[in-house]
Amino acid sequence: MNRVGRFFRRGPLDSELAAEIAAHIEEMADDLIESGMSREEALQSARAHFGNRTALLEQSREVWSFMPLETLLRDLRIGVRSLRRTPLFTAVAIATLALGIGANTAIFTVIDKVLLRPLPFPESDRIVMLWEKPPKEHLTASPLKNPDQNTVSPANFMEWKSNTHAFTDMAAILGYSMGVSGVGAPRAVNGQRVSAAFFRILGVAPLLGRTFDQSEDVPNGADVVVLGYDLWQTQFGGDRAVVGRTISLLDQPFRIIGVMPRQFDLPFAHAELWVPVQIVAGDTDNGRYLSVMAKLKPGVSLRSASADVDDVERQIGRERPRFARDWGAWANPLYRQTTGEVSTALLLLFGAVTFVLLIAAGNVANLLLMRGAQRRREIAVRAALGASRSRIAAQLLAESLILSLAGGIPGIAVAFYGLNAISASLPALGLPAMERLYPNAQVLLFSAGLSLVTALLFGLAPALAFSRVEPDDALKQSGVRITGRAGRRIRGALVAVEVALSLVLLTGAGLLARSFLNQITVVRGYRADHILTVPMFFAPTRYHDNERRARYVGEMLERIRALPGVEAASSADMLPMTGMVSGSGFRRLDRPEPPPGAAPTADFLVVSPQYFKTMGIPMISGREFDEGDTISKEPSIIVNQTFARKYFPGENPLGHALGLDWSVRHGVIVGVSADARQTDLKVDPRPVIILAQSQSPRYFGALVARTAARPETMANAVVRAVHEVDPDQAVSDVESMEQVEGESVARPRLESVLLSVFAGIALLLAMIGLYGVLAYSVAQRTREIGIRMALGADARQLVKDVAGDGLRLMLPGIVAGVAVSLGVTRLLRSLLYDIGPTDPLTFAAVCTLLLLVGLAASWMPARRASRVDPVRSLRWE
Amino acid sequence: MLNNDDKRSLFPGALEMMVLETLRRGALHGYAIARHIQQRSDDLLQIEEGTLYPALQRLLREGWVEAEWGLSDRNRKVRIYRITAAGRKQLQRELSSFDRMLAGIARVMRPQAS
Repeated sequence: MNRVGRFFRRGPLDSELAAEIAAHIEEMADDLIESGMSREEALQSARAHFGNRTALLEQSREVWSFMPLETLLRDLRIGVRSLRRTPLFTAVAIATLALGIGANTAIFTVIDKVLLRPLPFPESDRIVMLWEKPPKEHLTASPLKNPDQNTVSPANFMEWKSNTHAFTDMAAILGYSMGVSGVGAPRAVNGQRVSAAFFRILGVAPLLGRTFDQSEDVPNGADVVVLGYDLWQTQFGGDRAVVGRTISLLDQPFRIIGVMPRQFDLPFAHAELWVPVQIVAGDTDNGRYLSVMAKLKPGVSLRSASADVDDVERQIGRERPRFARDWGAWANPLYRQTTGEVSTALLLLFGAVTFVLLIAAGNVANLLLMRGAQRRREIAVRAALGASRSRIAAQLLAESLILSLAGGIPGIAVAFYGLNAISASLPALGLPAMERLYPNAQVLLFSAGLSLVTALLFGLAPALAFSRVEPDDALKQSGVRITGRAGRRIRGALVAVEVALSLVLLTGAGLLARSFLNQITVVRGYRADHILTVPMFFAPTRYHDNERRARYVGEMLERIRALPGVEAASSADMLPMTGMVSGSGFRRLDRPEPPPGAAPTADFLVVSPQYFKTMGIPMISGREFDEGDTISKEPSIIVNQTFARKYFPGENPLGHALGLDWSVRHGVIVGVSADARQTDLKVDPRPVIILAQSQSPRYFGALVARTAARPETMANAVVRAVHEVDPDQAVSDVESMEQVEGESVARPRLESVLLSVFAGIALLLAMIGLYGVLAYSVAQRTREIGIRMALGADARQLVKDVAGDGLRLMLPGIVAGVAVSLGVTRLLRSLLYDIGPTDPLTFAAVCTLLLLVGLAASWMPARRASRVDPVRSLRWE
Repeated sequence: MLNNDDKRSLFPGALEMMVLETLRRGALHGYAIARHIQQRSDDLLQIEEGTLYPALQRLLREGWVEAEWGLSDRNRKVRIYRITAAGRKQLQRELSSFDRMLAGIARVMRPQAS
């Protein structure tokens, strides 16, 4: 008979065995009767000789059963029963675990989606972004986050394309916000001008129609457009007959030739439509503004691809030193492009939730240890009845398993809930907004595994500690006095570890919080209150010549300034706090010309009259731009104070002439402004050259207005004023300057808030752990305390003793936590502003906080100790 | 407290080996196997007779013995066990390794006088 057959035929087998054993005993009894015993005696003796029939039957059965599975199920049944007898304990343990497992599942879902999932393009590991790399002195001085990822000039792109060998295809991408009209209200959309190769590199076929081909991606090629899925849905209601229709982009008709499938988007550069970039070969424009994407030839390594493009770039530098001397170039994999910045924050959060889970596991282990101590007698009885040590350990582990699974299921609910919140805050983390995040099968598998590992973590110590119970000892003694020095040591160690882990988290949270505070309280140099910002773009066909551009901006400003409630209005090519900066070279015209490539550089800003008044930036000397700064006059320049100090030390810069590498080629300094932060709050003021929009009319990016009332209330009136000048002007994202600032620090704020939340949970859990251990030890020592009270001990002294126990439990944890933090907070360095990763004040504050909270957690057990009634405690047995 | 394992026999598998050896001489029922082992060992091995049954179940599971219901000398309904070909092979294997083990132990326990 095979095993499975046996398994299902348990009944007949048992009865056969029982019959067989009965026959055995009777045969033996017959032998004994033959040797002269009475039947009674013989049967008794035969049974004694045979041994424990039930146990042997059981063992015989185990030979056949699927041993592990069956015992496991039985252990689980017993476990459920025993856990249900202690509902409070069970509830606390499950809630703790649900929190820990849920937080881990949520963060892991995000990590899985963002860091682990390959990009949705075939062979995406071969797709790279190519960047120019400025000379070293520019790199170190740059205010940008990734100064080595400089956009590429069209001329260089053409050179790379024809002279490199490592790539199958190379495409230029130029982000462009363009007004769409002809369908619904005019609206600004994020478009991209891209090479035909763009779609080949990404390898995604259009949903409808086709993408453009090489013949359309040439100067003066066809005006064709490929729509993104969302735009197709919102503007055309998903009409499949849209291909072949015409829409107006930038006031020009474009023929729709295709629609891309849903989710087709670059993770770091969102676009809703694509038009051919149509780069003019031999373009002498020296601006660097293209993003370049390329696909590696099969088998070409990243390093050799970088070397290939760098060689070509160095050659350009030798041929045109004024433009590209000492510039390099390199290839960055597309996936790193997406996640590079984000991964630090995500991994930080993952570390935090792992700590929370470890602390939760520590707490449950402690609970189990205490419970185990109370259950010593039960365990001893089971051992006495013949349960082997491994059986008892398995039983205890089964209980841990039930707890962790019971915690894992609500944990997934916690994860769903948390993911809702996280999905909403993804853009702040620098991630593209995604459709609702939900844990997939892989992630759920991860959570299940996590639950199991956690069960092992918190179940192993108690299982090992209590399976060693000597039944004789445990049964002889009364329950109260058995505390077990080993058990106490383990409990103490667990609390110390929990304290250490929560201290690390608190330190990290404290550092991030202070860094965030430093950022939002930094002196900006401008007054952010009561400013309305209106980003917009020219429609180039309508405003293609400089005079018209200048006049257009002037007219809009005139109308806005005339609005009641507007105190001042101006324009800027780049709003502060939007992370943008443009820089170029300059020289003092009263000094000899520096050699090529050695000219100093400064940031450039182009503004209209009243800019400094609107922004609340004081003028130090000279004047603001005014209506007299017209395009036909000598260009005027305003510099900031940092510029004046650096390049005109001890001189009055007013009246000096500068030669510029950008826009107007020269100008005269007419004013010096106070310093103000521009790129973002973290970047200290740098030397800035400010030009007049009326004299550099191409450069325009936003209107700004200072309002008397709250700026939001003026938004409609300002947009109306714009549309009075040009009804087709696309306007979007009208915000107050405070909102713009808020977005610029959204990410540090989110990082700091999330880490604080996790640190708070960790602290709470660790304190529950501390409280539990102290309360338990007081309960255990009721007799001892009673005796001391009876002998006249002071209640206050008892309180001090228990609180002292609490401190003794915490101290090693605090020391260890500080040591670990000193090593770990270094990883935060890139996220910190104006505070060191080992900031002593933060460390001291966190330790003090932990000690205070620890004392509070000790207080309740201490009070209970001081209220022990000596008489009752001595009777308590 | 003695563990069940301690009661079984000298070492794990020893009882099974002795059962196979006993059955090699002919088919027997459980009680008869127990008697045979006890007599052959001159009562030196005190086996708790019940432990025979888990051992027999293990041997059945491995396919080294087979069993069918029959009658004892006293006309009692009993299961009669018979060694299979696989059981004989297994016995050979165990005997040779057992011999080697005994020889090894003997050399250690009784070193030659020098």
